[in-house]
Amino acid sequence: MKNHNPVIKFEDVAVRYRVPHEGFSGIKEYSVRLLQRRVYYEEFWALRGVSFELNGGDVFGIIGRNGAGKSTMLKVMARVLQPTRGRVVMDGHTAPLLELGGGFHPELTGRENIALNMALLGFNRRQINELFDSVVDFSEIPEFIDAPLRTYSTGMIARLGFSVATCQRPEILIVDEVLSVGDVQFQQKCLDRMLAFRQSGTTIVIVSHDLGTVQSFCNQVMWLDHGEVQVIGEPEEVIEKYIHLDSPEQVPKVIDSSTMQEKYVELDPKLQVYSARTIFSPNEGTVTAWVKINRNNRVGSAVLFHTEDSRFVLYTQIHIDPETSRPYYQFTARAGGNQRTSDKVNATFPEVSTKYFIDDDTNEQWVHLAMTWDGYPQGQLNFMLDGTSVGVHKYSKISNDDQPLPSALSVGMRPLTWPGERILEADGSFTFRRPDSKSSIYDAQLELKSVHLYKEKLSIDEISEIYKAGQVKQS
Amino acid sequence: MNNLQKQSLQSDEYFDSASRPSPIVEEILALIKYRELVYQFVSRSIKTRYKRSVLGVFWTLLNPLLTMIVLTIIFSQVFRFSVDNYPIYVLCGLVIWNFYSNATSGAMSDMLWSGSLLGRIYIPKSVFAVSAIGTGLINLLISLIPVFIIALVLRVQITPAILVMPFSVFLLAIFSLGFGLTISTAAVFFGDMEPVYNVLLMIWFYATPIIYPIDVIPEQFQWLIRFNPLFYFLTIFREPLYNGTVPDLSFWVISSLLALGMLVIGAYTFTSRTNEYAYRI
Repeated sequence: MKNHNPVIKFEDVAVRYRVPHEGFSGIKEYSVRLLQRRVYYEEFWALRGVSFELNGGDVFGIIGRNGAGKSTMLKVMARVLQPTRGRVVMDGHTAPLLELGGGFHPELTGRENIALNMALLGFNRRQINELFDSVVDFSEIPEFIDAPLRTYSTGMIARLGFSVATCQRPEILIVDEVLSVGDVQFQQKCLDRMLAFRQSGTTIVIVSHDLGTVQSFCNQVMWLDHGEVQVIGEPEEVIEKYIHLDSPEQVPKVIDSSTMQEKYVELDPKLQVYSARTIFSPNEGTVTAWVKINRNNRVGSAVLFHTEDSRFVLYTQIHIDPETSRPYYQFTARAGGNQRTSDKVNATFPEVSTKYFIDDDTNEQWVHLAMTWDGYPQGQLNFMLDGTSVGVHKYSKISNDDQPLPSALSVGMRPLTWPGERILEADGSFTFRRPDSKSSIYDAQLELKSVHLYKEKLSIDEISEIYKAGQVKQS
Repeated sequence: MNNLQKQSLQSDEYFDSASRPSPIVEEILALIKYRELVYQFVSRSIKTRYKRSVLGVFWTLLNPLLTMIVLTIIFSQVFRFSVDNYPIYVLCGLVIWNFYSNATSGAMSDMLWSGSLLGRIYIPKSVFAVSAIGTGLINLLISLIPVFIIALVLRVQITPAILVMPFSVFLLAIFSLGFGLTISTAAVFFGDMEPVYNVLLMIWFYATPIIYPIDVIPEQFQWLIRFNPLFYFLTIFREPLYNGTVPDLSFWVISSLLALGMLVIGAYTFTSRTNEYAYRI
């Protein structure tokens, strides 16, 4: 019996990618550089000394940030990559589920593609003939089977791909985040099949960002970061460590607003993430805050308030005025939109910005900011600085993508789960950008105080009062 | 689900990266295991070539024929050498050349363009070269039909010597496989291998006596031709049909050595280096 020997074994496995430096790619260039002794590669170690063992029937989850090396590990298991160092043992037939429909050819029919993909998985003619019908049945598309694949929807292709890849119970199954395709019934079918495999002793390795699935499905979890194993253990334990150690400030705090006395919620001004559910409403609201800026600051760019989806943001940047060489802070408030819309002049968010020069005789100064909004996806943004309005902006639904509204918001930084800036180009296409996400008040050496979030829109007078009251406290 | 239970899954597949057989042995064993894949690649190639074009089948036949017609018209006038039955002479060369150039450059580009596949699933990378050769052989066979028809029409003497032609093709196939594997390996490291090889093929075409007889080359330069491996393979293919004679033993010996040598070189460089490919995708 093989039961006492591990089914999968990694011994100090390291994987190095090589990217040619300075981008030479041709024979002529190579020869020239060889003569000049300038040929060298940039090395990137995707895995650094990973070791673990799995037994038959284990369900092993691998979690970690993007770029941590999870896909590389799966590739080593699937024999797509050889380890640069160390040893890998895979005892048993290994079926990879790394991308459904990867080997499909659009011109061939479903039938022909099944045969092709089974051949890609290493099946011989006899096995293909035996298992063919069960593949067609499981994928639930028998009437399309003789149509060319280019006529299939992505859901159908995924179904076919899963069907082919799992037509025979493998001893080891490697899954890379493929289960989010297809309709709910089919997803359930896939999960059922995987569960049946597990029951019969298949060892399953699964990479996922869905920590819920990982926790319920796996009996062992590994947290991988920068190619190194951080911890291996019980799912709950590892997942908790992952959340807390990897990004401690990212665990959203929940505030029960029903117990509040006042009209607002006081947010902790030190790098916090909050669950938006009970405290934030996109239809109407106000944010007020005091921020301390200083003259000598060179970094100075910071996010003060940020909903997860970038629709409601308060941030600041420091610039030098070209004419006078004086530094100034640019405060910006954004409400109601997370998409830059091309408006003939330049791509812009629904924002209001204002310049603020620090008084000459001080180094540090407290500034009061207030932003109000009403309406979503149509509405108006009001921005106030030191009790006075500095701008108004009307926004409409063209500034919004179709993503659901934010479930979290952050103070003093951007939430790590921020998806990036989506920019709607004039021709209707989208580009994506993720500017430096290091802009926290900590990096910028700014300070926040009295960050208040209201579920209603305050009037200019009310805000002016708040400013004056707060000012008294300053002096 | 019944199939799943019926299948007995105590397979003897065991992979240990620290104790693998030699790369060549491993590749050959994998190739045998994945032979169905070679069949699928070849059949996919042939099908996609012919499926959506009515001319597809005829094009394989027409291509060398049209070229032959053009070349015959030009060269039998321009060069003013008289080669008996020039059409057959040039057709043999063209058909062999097409096989060789398509098989070798196909081997290389099939592998290069399959990066997305190789990044997701393990297959023995030599399937690309092997199936390129296989596809080439089938296309060669199809294109021989009009060659023989024309030979008959032109009253070329067809002798039993043509029975050696399968062996000529076999030796050339071996050589092509070795060469295809070698340039595929080079292509992993040098991004401009494809266009470079195309230029090389162009020169090579003229360095091989396909459209001209060897006598046209001045004595002092004839040795250049003899350093061209394709000269030998071309001769052992063309002579039996064109001359009706079996070529001299020396040609067979040289061709066999070339084929075997190239195969060994190709097998060795390919299996020892192509793992790098996965690191560079």
